Amino acid sequence: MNANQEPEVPSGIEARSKAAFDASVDEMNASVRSRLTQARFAAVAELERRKQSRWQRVLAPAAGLAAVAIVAALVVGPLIHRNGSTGATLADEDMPILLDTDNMEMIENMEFYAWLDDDSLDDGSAPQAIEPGEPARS
Amino acid sequence: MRGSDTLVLNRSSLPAKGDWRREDVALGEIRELERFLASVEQRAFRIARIALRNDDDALDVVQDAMLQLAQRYGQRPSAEWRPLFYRILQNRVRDYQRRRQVRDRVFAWLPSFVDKDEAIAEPDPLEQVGDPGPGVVEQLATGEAMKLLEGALGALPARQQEAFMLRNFEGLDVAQTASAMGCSEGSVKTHYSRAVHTLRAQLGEAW
Repeated sequence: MNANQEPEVPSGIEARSKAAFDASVDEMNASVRSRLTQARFAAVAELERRKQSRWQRVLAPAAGLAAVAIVAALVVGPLIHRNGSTGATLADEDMPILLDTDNMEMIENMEFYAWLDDDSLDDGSAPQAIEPGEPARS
Repeated sequence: MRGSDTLVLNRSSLPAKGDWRREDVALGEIRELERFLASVEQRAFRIARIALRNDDDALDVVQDAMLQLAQRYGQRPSAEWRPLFYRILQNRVRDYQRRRQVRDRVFAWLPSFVDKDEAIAEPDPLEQVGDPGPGVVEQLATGEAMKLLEGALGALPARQQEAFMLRNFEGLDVAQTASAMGCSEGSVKTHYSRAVHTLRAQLGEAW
């Protein structure tokens, strides 16, 4: 055969050597087979580990962020809401009254209005508000 | 490993979303790699064994090749695994051969050196157990033929040996063999032709 020409059909030497090789594979002893199986399991376990770690790399930060968001919603949210509503009530109802310049007189006579308030609670009926300095009505 | 319970999924038929689908695909890839390794491991061992002439070294090389394939190329399409696996295997074989040459050169200066572990090592009982396949006479005949072939292959230059084993024993085509050997297809053809020519010259009489 020409050394530069590759045979399309296996020649005698090729066919016989392949048959001898295949037979030697079939006759492989149990110890080698066992060690090869262990090596294969180790390689497959490695691929599994890499796949798991890849998903963990992706999912762990997302899970962490989700956990932080849930904690924030459950713990911090109600606190903010409660404090916020109290503050909002004060700001909405009291602050304009307190800051209104027309009511500065009310602030100056705060003790009188406090007494008036207590008195109305004790009697069950609110007395008529009398402005200081005004003549009493009969 | 080749049972009907193995899971084979067509990725293109799967929806893009859904964790359980992704898990099935991952499981399918793992099973596919396992099937591939099971299909090549014994032949790969024999090829490495012929090149290295040592069972333990051949087992180490095959194990390394399996691990490297899983680590580096496990995500690649399974059609690429075969030439990649044999490329890794051949590289590891060459590494072992180089290391052995260096070791032999160093130990050549220490003629009294004897590896005590190797000297007192007892044979593994399992190694003595063969598969009850062919009869004793056939095994002897096959074993003798293989011994002659291994001797002739061992005398070939490394690249011719690689080309012959990958093409003839493993059945890789020229392109796959070129990929596994890291050379051109023309070089594969040349190496293979020369190997066949030399083997025929050496074994023609005996076979």
